[in-house]
Amino acid sequence: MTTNDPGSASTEAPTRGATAEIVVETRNLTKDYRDFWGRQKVRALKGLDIEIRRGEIFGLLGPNGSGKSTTIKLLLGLLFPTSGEALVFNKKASDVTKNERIGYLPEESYLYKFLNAEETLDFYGRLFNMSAKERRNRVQKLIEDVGLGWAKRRQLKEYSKGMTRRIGLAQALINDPELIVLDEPTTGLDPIGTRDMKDLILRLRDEGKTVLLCSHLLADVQDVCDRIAILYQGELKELGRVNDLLAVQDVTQVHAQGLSEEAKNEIRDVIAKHGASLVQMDNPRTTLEELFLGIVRESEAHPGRRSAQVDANS
Amino acid sequence: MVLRHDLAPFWDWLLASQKPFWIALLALAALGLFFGYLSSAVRNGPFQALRWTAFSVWNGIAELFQLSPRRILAMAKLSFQESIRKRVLVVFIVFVIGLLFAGWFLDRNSDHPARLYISFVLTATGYLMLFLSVFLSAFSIPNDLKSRTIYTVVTKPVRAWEIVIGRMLGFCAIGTVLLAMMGLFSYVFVVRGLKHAHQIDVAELTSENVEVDGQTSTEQQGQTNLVRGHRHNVMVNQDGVVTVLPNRDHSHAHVGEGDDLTLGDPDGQLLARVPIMGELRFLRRDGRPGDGYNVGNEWEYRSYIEGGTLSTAIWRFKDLNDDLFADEYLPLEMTLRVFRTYKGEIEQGLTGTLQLVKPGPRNEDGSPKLDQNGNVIDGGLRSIPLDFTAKDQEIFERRIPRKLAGIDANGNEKTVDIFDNLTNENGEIEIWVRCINRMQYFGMARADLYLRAADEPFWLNFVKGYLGIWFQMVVVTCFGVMFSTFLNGAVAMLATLSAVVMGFFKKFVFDVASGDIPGGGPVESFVRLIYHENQMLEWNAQEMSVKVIRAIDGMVLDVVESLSYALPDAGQFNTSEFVANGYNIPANLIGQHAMISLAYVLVVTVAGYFFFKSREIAA
Repeated sequence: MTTNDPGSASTEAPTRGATAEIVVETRNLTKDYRDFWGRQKVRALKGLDIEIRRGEIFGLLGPNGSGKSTTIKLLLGLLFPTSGEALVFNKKASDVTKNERIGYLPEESYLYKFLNAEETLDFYGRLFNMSAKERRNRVQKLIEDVGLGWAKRRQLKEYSKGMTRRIGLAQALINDPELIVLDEPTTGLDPIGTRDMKDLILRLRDEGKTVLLCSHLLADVQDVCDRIAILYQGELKELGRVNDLLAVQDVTQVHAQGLSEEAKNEIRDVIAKHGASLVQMDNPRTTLEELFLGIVRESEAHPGRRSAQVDANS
Repeated sequence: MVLRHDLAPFWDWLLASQKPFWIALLALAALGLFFGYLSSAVRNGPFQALRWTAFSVWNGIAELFQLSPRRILAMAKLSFQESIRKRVLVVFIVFVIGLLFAGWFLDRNSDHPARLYISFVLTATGYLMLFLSVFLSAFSIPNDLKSRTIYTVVTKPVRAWEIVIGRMLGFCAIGTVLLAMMGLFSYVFVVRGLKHAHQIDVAELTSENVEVDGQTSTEQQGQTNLVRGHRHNVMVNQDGVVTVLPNRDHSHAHVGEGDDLTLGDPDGQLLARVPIMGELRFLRRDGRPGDGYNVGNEWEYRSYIEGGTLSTAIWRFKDLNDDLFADEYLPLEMTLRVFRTYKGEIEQGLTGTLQLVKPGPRNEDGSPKLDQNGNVIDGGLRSIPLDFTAKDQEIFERRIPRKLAGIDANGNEKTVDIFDNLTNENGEIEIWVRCINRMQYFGMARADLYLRAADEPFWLNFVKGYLGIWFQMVVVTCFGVMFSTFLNGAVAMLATLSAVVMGFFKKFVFDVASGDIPGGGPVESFVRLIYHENQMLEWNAQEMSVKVIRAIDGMVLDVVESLSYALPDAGQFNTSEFVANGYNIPANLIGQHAMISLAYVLVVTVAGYFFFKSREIAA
C-alpha cells in the first residue's frame, strides 16, 4: 500500500459529488427497537434524510448508540425500517440484487474461523456467482493486495486482529464493488494498519468508488471524509463538507519556513497595526502518528539501527 | 412376514395421496399467510401488512427463479466444511468403537443370530444419525447469527432460499458420507460376525442302514462340533455326499474333498427373499365359498380350516411367469398355526395337502363362478395333492418341481408344467391347502403362504435398509434447519427433537384424540392420577366438572392432533425389520418413502424460507 499525504483527502473534493448520481438515499428513515411484546423500547433513528453521491467518501459520526450502525444495517437490509425508506442504487434495502454492487466490512470482520484465507474469499466469490477462473484470479490478487500471501493457508482462528481485519477487507472487495460500506474501519488497528486503511479508502475513492463509513474516531474521519453527517441520539445534527464544517471563518493561518526573529516581530506588528489579535505563533508539532510512522519506516529501511528521529529528539 | 398388508402399486398410491397432500398444503399455506399477516399487522398496521404479505409471497416466488446452483453449493460446501472441521467424524469413531465392543456382548447363542446382528447395526446407526442430524442442523443458522458471520453472507447477493437449501444440502451431504461409512463398516461387521465353520468328527459318526426305493444302503449320521453354541446334524451317504441340516437359520456346504469333512461358511443366513403374495379365500367344510372358521378368539387375525373335510384355504397368485424364479422349481414358504381339538401325537405335527389348481372363470366382482350345486368351477386341471406336515408357527419350505403329476377334468392323470399348463392366460394360479387330520385345524392369514421368487442380493437389501435411515436423516435435518431459521440453537434442537418424538408417537396421539385409548385427554388423565382412579372407571358425562374437563381436553387434543398430522413419522422409514428377517424391501415401498420425504422436505424448505426472510438479521 502506498502512503498518501493526509492533507490530500479533501483537496479535489469540491469538484466531485454535487452533481453525480445518487448512490445512497434515506427518506425520513426511522427505526424503533421493540421488545418481545411489540412495545417500543427505544427509537434508534429519527427521520434521517441523507443522500450520498457517486465518488464521495461519506462519514457517519457520532458517539456510541447514536444510530450510526443502525443506519448502515438499515441500508444493507439487516434491519427493517419502522417507517421511511432506505434506497441503495435506487433499490429498496430489502432487495438482494443491490448487493451485487456493494462491499461491506462489518465492525469486527465476522468471518468463518474454520476456513483459511483462500477458502474464505473463494466462498464469498461463489456467493457472487463468479466462475472458478475468475475466483482464482481475484482471490490471489486480493490476498496479495492485503499482504496475507504468507498466511493464506492458515485457518482464520489463528489470525491476529489486524490480519482478520485485512481478510475482512479483502472479502468486502471480492466483487469489485461500486459502494463500499465500512463499519468502524480503523477500530482496533495499530497505527500502521490505520494508515493503510485510510490510504485504501482514498485509493478506492480515486478509482471512482463511493465509500460510506461510520466511526467515532474523529481524526480518522477528518483525514479521509469528503462529507460527514453527525448523529446524536438518533437524530441528524450536522451534515456537510468536512472542509466547510471545520474552517474557522475569522482565523487566518500562515505556514512559513526560515523566518528570523525580527521577521516574526514585524508580523506581530503588522497584525497589531490592522487591529487584529495574534492568537498563536510557535513551531508546529508533528503528530504522534507521523512520528511513529516515520520511525517504523526508518527501521524497515535500516534494520538494527536506532532511528535518527529518536536520536534527534532525545 | 414383515408386511401384513399388500402395498398399493406405486402410481395408485401416489394418486391417492395427492388429495390429502394438497389439502394439507393449502391449509398450511393459509395458516402461514394468516400468521404472517397478523405479525406484520401488529408492527405496521392492517393496510401496510396487506401490502407486505402480498409482496413477501410475490418476492418469494420471484426469488425462486433467481436461484444459482453455485451459491447453493457454496452454502452446502460451507456447512460440509464446518461439520468436518468441528470434528463430526468423531461420531463415526464412536460408532466403530461401539461396534467393536458390541461384538463381545451380542448373544452368540441366539436362535436367530443374523436377525440380532442386523437389527443391532441398523438400530444403532438409526439413532446415532437421528441425534447427529438434530445437533448439526439445529445449531447452524443460530450460530451464524450469534457469531454474526451471517452479516457478511446476507449482504452478498445470496437469496434466502439459497441459504436454507444450501444448509440443508450440506448437512445432508455430511450425513450421507457418515451413513455410507457406517453402512460399509456395519456390513463387514455383520458378515464377519456371523462367519464360522464347523468340523465333523468322523469318530463320532454312527452308521445306519436306510432303505430307499427298496435298496438298502449304509448312511453315517452324527453331529458337527460345537461352534458359537450350536451344532448341525449331518448325514454322509455311502457315496460320501455330506448333508448338513439347518440350525439357527443356516446350514453349511461341504467344502472338503474326499474324506476331508470340513464345512464352509454359513449358507442361507443373509438373505433377501422376495415373496410373491396372493389373495386368500376360504371354502367351508361343505366345499362352498365362505369365511374361514374361528377357533375362539374373535379378534384373531387368522382364520382356520377344519381337517378331514372339504374346508380349504385358497391362495390365488397372479402375474406369474417362469422369469420370476431362478430354477426349475416353484419355491413356496408357509407358516401355519396349528389348533388341536384333541392332543393326538403332539410331537408329530399335522398332515395337510397342497394342490396347485388352474383357476376357473370368475364373476365380474372377482369371485369364482359356481356350478349349479354351489361348488367352485376350476380351470379343469390340477396337480395331485402334495403332502406336508406342519407344526405350529414353524416356517415350512417346499420346492415344487416345475413338472409334476396332474389330473385333468376327466380324472385322467398326466404330467403337467406349472407355468405352461397350470397357470391361466392371466398368469394366475391357485394353491389349495387342506388339513387331513379330522377335528384338527390349520390357521392361516394372507401373508402366511407366499411364493418365493429369485432372491435379491443381500448387500442390496442392506443398502436399501440404510436408505430408510437416510430418508429419516434427510427429513430430520430439514426440520432442524427450518426450526433454526427462527429459533435459537438450543430451542431449535428441542423443537426438532419434540417433532421427531411426537412423530414417533403419532399413532398414540391419534388414538388418544379419537378416544380409543381409555382415560381421556391430558386434564382427565391428570385428575384420574391425582384421585388414584382406574382408567376404565366411567365418569358421569352429565356432571358439570366432567363437561368442563372434557371440553378443555377436546381443544388440547384437537391442536395436538392437527399438529401431529404435520409432523414426520421418522419411524415409518424404518425398514430394518425387512433386512433383519431376510425379506427384500420392495422398490415400491422405497418409492413411497422417497415421495413422503420429498413432500416433507419441500414444505419445510418453503416454511424455512419465509421464516428466515421475515426475520431481522441484526435484531
